[in-house]
Amino acid sequence: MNEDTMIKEALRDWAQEVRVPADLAERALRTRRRRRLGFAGSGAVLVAAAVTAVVTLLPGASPERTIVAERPTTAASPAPTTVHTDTENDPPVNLIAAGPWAVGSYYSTEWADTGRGTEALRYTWSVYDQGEGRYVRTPYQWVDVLPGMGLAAVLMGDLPSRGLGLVDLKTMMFTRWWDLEEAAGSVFWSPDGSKLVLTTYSGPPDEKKWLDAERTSAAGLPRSRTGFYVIDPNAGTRNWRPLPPDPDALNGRDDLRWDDDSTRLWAATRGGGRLLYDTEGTRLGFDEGHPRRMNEAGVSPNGRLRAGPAGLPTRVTDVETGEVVGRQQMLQLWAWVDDDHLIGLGCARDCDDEFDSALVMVSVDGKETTRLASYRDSRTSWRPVLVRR
Amino acid sequence: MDSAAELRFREFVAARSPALMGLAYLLTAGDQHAAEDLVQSSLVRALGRWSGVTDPEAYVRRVMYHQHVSLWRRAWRRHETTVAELPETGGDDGTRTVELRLALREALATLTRRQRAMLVLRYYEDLPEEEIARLMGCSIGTVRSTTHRSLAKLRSADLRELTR
Repeated sequence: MNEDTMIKEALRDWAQEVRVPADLAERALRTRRRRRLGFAGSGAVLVAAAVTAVVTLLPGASPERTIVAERPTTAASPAPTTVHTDTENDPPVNLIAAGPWAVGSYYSTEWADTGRGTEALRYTWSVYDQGEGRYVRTPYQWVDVLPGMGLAAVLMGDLPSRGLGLVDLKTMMFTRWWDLEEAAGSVFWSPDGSKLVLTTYSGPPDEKKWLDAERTSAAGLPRSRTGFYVIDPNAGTRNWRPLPPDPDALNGRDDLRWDDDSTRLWAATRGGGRLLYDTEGTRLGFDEGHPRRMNEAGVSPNGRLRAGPAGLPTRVTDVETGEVVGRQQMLQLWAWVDDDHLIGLGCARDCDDEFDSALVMVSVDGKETTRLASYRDSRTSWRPVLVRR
Repeated sequence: MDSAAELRFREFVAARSPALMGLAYLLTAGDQHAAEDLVQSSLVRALGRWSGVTDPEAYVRRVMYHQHVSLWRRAWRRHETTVAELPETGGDDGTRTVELRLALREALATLTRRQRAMLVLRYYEDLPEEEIARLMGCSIGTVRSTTHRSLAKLRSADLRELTR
């Protein structure tokens, strides 16, 4: 048997082993109906949040919410325009930044035995230490840097953790501490820097029961999300609300993050959507299609251009006409540096390996590129987290 | 969507589900759950513009490729992706064929999402290189070099030994 025939037959055989659910049409229709209703339901909130959100109608499309992210008051104003690179060190030691954005922290993960036949992710976080002027490794299992890079919220000990602290990034000393009744798996600042959201879990949020040594197959484990805290450090308030796992959630880890309006919360769902909640845990609706999630640039600062979805090559389109104004040899577009430049993931060589990538600044027309950091394997190496500086 | 359009959609899905699920199953390297998710989200997308779609199958397939090869989820969340166990094989196969099939599946599962999609387009869908390049949004040269590298990877997985 020659190679071509062998591959063809193997693929055909394999494809025939799939189980074909009888209710695919019903599922799609139900999802469609639910999303349409969900979107209508969140309309009132959109109007209320109109100060920070611009609602536009694209020709031939359903109403789509366009968020122009506001600059948090805690970040520098006017925004810095300088570019800092560290292409020598892997992971980086020196500041990486372009325009208003910097790599405030980065992390890597490894699997650790839980002692009950499962494994959970252990994180190693580094943050930019303003006092030392370099990235330093931290002992915390979760880090989220406040816009402005002066403070970080951290979780101490194994996840989920009952210890939340605020660390001053000039002195690397704790300035605040909370003992939590419910254990948290993540913490995120609101974009305006005024509040924190912590998602709580009854077990390790990243726990997996691997079925093979290469960790390619895993058995399902019960999801363990229990709820979330909203903490306002300045007002001294802390509220916990129950929120059970959502069956549409992407993973066992089902974190809540702040929307760009610093008012609503969202969790990712399969298929690229977002479930929206208010701070009481009431579901407000569903954003479908390609709402702006983490590491997606969205609309340019002047509101005219939209960075396209991930996928080589990336593209930037005119918000009003939908016309493609530039293509870039990039994997993902993460953030706008100014109206003509973006930060994103660029690939090494001729993009023959999607995992061999680096942070790159690229012009909208794709002609100018500046590599900001070293190339690394995105699966196993450090992962940058951008923050407004 | 009026009732006639909904009926047309239901008929289309009933007729084409096996083909769409088979394709999704290969793209997701045999992950039943991910395959259902891929087909379902592509159908939802198709529903959004159902009245304007003249060739629903071609449209849904194109959406499936684009959704699947869309890199950000994969590149960023790979450690969170669950890949199903290799399915049991039928008892009446010769040992050699079973071994060969399993080895090839394992090798296919180690390819990157883009590499696997290109092999599926070429060997399962039987598409010419120009069409693959158009679907994947790359040059014919990239299709050739990616396919070449993918095959080299498969060959290094002891397949040559088994095909002798």
